[in-house]
Amino acid sequence: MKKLLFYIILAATLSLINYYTNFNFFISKSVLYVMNPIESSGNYVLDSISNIVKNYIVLQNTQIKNTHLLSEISKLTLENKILKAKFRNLDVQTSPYLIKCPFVFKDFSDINYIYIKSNAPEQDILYKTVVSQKLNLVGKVESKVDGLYKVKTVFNSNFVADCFIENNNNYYRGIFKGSLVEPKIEFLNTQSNIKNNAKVVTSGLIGNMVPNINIGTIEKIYEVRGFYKIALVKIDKTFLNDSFVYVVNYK
Amino acid sequence: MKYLVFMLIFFIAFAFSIFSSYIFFIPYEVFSFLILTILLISNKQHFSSYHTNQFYLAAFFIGFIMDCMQHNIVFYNAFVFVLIVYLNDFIKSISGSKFIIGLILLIGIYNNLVYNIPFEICLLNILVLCIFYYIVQRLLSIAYAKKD
Repeated sequence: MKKLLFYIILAATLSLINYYTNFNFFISKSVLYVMNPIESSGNYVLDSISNIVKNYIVLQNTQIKNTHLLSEISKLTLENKILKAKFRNLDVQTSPYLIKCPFVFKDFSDINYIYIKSNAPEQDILYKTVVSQKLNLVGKVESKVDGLYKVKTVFNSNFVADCFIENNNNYYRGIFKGSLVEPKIEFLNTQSNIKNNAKVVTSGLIGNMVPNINIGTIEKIYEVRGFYKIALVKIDKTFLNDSFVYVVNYK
Repeated sequence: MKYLVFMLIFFIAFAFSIFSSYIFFIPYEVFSFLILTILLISNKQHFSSYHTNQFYLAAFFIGFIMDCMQHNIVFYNAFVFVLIVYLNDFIKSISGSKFIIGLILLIGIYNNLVYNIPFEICLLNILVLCIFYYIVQRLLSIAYAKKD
């Protein structure tokens, strides 16, 4: 109790002195002068920590969102592919002369031949012309092997077709020779006026080939020692991604 | 070694008070940690008039600084801090050192009523004070175990 009384008297005395001198102002100023830098640096450290934590949380959330978005994108890509495939299958040229046949490759590295399957009578398929869904020339049915029809494609170096090059309503006759690397039209007249991107169609004059079927477009023309001209043909290969081809069955 | 631990305790007290005022926006929080530190150290000391006087003086000084910071004309906090140490000594002699727990709760209630700090934040602050109490207890037990 003595101690308490002593400290009460001390506090009262200091209060009285403070009342007249107002010294607590200087003490608080000095304390703040020392404490403020410590407090502000402490707050700066805590601010930095809180920023790091916030950034980490934002980063984590972004990563989760990113993963989610990536999965959404892959889903959408897949859906897009399915829709494209559906669209391609819907884009069917319905014609009484066309027989729809699914096709396969024996080997993906070998597209010289494709194999088609059809329940149509054999005489409607064998030795007929095969076209893609875009009605471009694919090849010609060569034989029947184990229930499948073997089609020699335009990429085969033995594939030959009589053709016309259409340029400003003029038709120039040539022989189309198939190739995987360089399909071309040989033995063109040196006087023939052909330009790039001219359309190449089958003539149907020789063999069992149906006339007026699109083969491709002219890519490049050059002359062989002044005797004849050779035109390189650009063939549309997109049918390789399709599932079906059509056999043209003209009576 | 003992004084090194004391230094460490005061450093932790300042760190906790900065953290507490930063997170919970409680003003003059450093004084709560300081009075808790004084009480904890005084509980570990053996009874002797010399040491007790030191703690009373330290408590008075802390209260006096707090009054100065608050620009009080009457230095009542200085006396209240001395009274807290006296009550702690008094209760320790009757039923052990349980006064500190009451004091921590009192700080929470005081913050809630006087500084209008929300109740949940006061609870969190009490939790921080309890963690500080536990850390200081462990540090003091290490310091005094070395001495024994």
